[in-house]
Amino acid sequence: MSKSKLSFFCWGVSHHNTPIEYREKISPGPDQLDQIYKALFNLDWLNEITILSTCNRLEVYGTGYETEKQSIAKTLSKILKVDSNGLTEKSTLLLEEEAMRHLFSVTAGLDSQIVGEVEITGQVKQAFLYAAKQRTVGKHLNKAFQKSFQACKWIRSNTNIGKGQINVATVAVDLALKVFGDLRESTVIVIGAGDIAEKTVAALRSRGAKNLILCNRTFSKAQELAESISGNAVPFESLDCHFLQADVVLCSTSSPEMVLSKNRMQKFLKKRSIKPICLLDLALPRDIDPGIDHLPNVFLYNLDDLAEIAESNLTARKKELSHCHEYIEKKVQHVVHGHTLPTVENNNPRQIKQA
Amino acid sequence: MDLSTDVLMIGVGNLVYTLGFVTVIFYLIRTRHHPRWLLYFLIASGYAIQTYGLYLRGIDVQGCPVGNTFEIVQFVIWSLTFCFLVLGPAFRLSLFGFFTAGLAVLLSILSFVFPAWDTPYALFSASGKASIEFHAALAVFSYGIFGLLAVSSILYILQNFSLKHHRFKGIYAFLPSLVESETMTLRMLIAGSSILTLSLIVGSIYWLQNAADVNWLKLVFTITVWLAYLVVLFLRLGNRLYARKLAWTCIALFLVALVSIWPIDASRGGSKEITGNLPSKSLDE
Repeated sequence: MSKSKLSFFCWGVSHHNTPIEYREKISPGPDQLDQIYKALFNLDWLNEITILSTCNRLEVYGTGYETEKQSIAKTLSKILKVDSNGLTEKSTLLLEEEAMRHLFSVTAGLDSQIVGEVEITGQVKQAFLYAAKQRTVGKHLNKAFQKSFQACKWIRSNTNIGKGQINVATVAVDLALKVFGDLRESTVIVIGAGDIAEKTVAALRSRGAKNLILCNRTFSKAQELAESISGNAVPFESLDCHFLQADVVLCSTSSPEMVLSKNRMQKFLKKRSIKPICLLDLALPRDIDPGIDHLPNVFLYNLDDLAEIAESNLTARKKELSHCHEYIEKKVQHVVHGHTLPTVENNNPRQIKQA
Repeated sequence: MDLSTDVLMIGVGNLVYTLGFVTVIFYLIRTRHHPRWLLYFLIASGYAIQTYGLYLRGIDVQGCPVGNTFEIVQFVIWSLTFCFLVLGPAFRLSLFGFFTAGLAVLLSILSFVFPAWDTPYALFSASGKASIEFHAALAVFSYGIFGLLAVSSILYILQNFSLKHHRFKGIYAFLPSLVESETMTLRMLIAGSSILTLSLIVGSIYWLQNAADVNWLKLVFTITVWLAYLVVLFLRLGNRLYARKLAWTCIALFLVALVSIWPIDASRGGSKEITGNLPSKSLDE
């Protein structure tokens, strides 16, 4: 590569080629990140840089007059205290079109472990703003990132890449929303406790559910959880009484027997108002009699159902990938060959640094 | 006034509804979402054109154009879209406009497929004309609201099916929630029943004064439809009929109400022979 030609590159380590244990090791803390910026920017051949550090990737985007993954890996390995050769081996270096394509894909969430997730777009924006604050961004990186944000916006608005929830907790909330439309006035009863139940309760809360009633055979446990999520703990014996007001019931006990039988549910239905009820059985073995699903105005979902919906949504997102990549390809060609991002012939490698 | 102008304008209005319906289908297939403003704009445009067509017809018949099956069906479409334009933005029910446009298209196809529905008819005499026309307009307007009631019921049934059978792709992904659809259903039921009741009160004033002119078949059908909706309303308010059963009942009742238009209109067959021409002259003239 000509030393006088400025080229766009992406050096990185991601979930594609490294396990989580290794990514944990190379995840920089705030101080280390500053050090990395300083060290990399001191490299003579580097002109602009932006570092993207998330739980799934550590990537350096930049423009430079030569691009050697060894020199970046060497600089990083000193600060992150990992083996330089190992980091070089695990890292990949993409140049020009390929690097641009990768940036666009990452920003739009197409390269994420959970395809189509939205958090990554915010992380890329934050990384870019941080780099701008560090004054390591020039017109080329600025243009490349702005174009990637534009492409991401188009993809989000015009494709289904972000549609349909893909984790059990948010799928459960989505189903409750399909029944009630708005959870602000809904009463949610949580029977039992557990990791998925806690996540689902948090997701319900984030979507507006205010009235949360916690119930557990061990009252102190219910109180503990109620405190952590600002809900009301009630004794297990008074469950029947509260059940009549319930809109969403989340069952996650470790009981080997069913907590809610069909007969018991039928009795509740006779006494309660005509509002529909959404039952989320997140327990294994199941807490709710599957026969209840046949009752009118009752909507029952167990873990398998939720996982199946999440899986199906994920498949749908993956189907959208080709459509998104097609669009990205067009944008990349436009940016690279349409002179939106010119590769400048420049004899002054310190153009930005001197500015 | 050239008669073809009013039919043409009504037809163009109906075509614009069709355009709105087809546009949404295109958007849903192509991009899997649709711009609501575009559908609203197309329905509003169709409504404006149809209103002009009905206005021209109104001038021809020297009154509210609800004299034959074609006019009644067109008036039902008109009130259906009017209610949607007024209530649609307030409720913001997903796909509500799409299904309203769909129902409008279905009814307009029916009204144009049978040319016999647009036959000349005898005009009402001047005495009591205003009250009987007001009664007819209110009754047909309530049918428009019952049309929207049927639309919200369809949305409810589809969402219920989606939730029970775990179908969340395609059109199911855009449906409004069950509670939103049911709230809409109840409000439409109250509004439609109230307007039909008011229509019957206005009509009864005329019928009491002109008992000899009363079309008994029409009266029986009208009162049957009114009673049926009233019973459904009270059953719903008493929490005896709700959810899926309520939705199916509302759809079935709307079909009955639509079908009842035919015998009501057919019972006036004798009057048609009196004028024997396009609705341009009053019986009194």
